[in-house]
Amino acid sequence: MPTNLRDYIKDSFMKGLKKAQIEASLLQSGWTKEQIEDAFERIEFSQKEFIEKHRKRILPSKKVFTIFLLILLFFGLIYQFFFYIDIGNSCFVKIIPSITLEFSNSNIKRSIKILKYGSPADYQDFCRLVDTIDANIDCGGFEGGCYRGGKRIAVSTAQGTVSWTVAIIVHETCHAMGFGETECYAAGDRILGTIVEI
Amino acid sequence: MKFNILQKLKEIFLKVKSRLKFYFVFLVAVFIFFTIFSIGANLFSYFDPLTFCYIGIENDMLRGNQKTVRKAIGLLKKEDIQSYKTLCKNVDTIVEEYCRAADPRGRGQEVGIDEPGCYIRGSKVIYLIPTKKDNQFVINQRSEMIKKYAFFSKNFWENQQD
Repeated sequence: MPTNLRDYIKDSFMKGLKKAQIEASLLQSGWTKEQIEDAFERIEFSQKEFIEKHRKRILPSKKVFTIFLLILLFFGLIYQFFFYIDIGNSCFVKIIPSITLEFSNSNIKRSIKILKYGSPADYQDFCRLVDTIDANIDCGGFEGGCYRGGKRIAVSTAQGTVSWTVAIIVHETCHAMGFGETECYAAGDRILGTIVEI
Repeated sequence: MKFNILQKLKEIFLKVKSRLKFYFVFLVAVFIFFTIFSIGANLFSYFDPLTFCYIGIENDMLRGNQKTVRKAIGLLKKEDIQSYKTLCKNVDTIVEEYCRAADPRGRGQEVGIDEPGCYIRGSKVIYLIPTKKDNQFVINQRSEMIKKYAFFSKNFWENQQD
């Protein structure tokens, strides 16, 4: 197979000519149909070979891709079940799920988001004073909460109403600020009045 | 020459036919998936495939009735399409639950517990008072409440953007 035939075909493609046009021109120049078809096949084969060879270099292997997906899934689940993160407001809260009550923590996370938009000042206090929420039952009992000292609070409101969970979070944050029960009941009452629109 | 044209036409016809077959199978598959998804979604929530409106319904199994919530949304769609669009855009969950606008330990009394519903500011959640009754009055009332609180949600989120 003369290389100048293949070069001619490649050049013609580069110039924007169609396959049929190139074929016609080569037939006119005296090349046989077999020679032309053979040249086209060789060009297509070398193109495929080139793509295959470079695809391996460009695309990551299946193994790497699977590992990447698994890592992503792992961190996604960790975030979903154990953390509330709001980088913009420097809010990082660890949530300890309750195996018996609510493992997903969706109620607590949803409530924190309501607090964020519904009462930004209370949200800032919460982010500043609380770094851990335990969803297990504590001294506040079921549908209640508890301040455990430091930056830890317990909120056991599994599957309860989000507005009530917001009130418990604000109540316990109030304790974290050093206030007593009377002031903190008032704080819970105030937040319910703020977020519940009748 | 004539034979060549016929041959070409036949080739085109076969190509179009195979393409159409592929599109048809694809469309049928999409339709079946969508139907199953719609039926499944409507068992536990409200989903309207024509308007892509999805609203989760958290019902009270003992005291509530999910059916009337769905019927109330359907009524709103039928009677006031603009409000229905507002609802779809601004509400993601309807909860059958009593509203508690105060902590009785702080105020000494319950507030909002007898209200037909409420909107939770900072969310796209509305509450409807649970009821097992299934009649036109309840559906009409729920539809009105859903409309009212959907506008509360709309106002809240529009003011947030300003």
